[in-house]
Amino acid sequence: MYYIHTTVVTDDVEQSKAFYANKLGVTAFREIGDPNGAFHAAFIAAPDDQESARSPRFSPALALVRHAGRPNARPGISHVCFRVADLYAICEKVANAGYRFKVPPRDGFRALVHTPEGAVIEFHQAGERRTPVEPWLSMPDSE
Amino acid sequence: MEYLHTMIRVRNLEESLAFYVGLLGFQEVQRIESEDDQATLVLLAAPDDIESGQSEKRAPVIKLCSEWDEAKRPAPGARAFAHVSYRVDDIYAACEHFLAQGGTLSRPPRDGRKAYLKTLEGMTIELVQRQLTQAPNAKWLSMSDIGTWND
Repeated sequence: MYYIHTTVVTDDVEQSKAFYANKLGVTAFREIGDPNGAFHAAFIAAPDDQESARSPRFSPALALVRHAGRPNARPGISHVCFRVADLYAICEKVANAGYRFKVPPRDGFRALVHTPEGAVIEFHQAGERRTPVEPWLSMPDSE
Repeated sequence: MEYLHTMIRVRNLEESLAFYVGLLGFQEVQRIESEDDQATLVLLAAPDDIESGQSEKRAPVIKLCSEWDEAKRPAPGARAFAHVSYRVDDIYAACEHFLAQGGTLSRPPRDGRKAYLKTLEGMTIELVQRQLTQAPNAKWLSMSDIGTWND
């Protein structure tokens, strides 16, 4: 398990990107989004982190994210994200210990877990996405 | 300039360590009892980041901040994330550039070692001077705080 990024919610990815690039020199190395514009994420890294960020390690970075479908998402730090070798094994441990999922790993790729501080930690499956399985498939999100 | 850590303010350090260390296998790579911050600071590295976290790089890690005064700890429901931290080669140059580009420093680098600034999203970024503390100089010593940070 290793750190990949900290996600920052913004109302405007382009403006945020310009802020970090122009004022701090922290610049984008990858962008992803929906064709319909509902989701937009820019991944940015500091100058000395660019080489690692542009490698398959894809870290350390900040993810500047806007979800049109989540207008109530509060701007600022949303969660820290770690890549894991076995997403389901981690999620089973977390569930068995009584922690709650903000988003369970229904898609076989990612899960978000509420931490004891009231923060959120995200886990990404390394490599190929897993086949979606129960009990995650029918588990709802929790706030 | 390189990423160092994301800081999380905790309500109960033991509960947080049980989660990160006990359950997820993070390792405590440094613990600082900070008079400056009036807090216990614990640096935690994920299992595959331990070597780097233990090196003088001390990154990438998450930093748990447990304020000694329990009344100052985040209330339930409050945002626990405090800041994202970067190490810079020249904190004065970084702050000069940031101000010249129209940014606002929450805490100027008066001690030559650390500065805090607010981003467009309203989050705090910490800048930390690499290696030796720069000698404090008059320009920054006379500059006041604007607003708050880490809250």
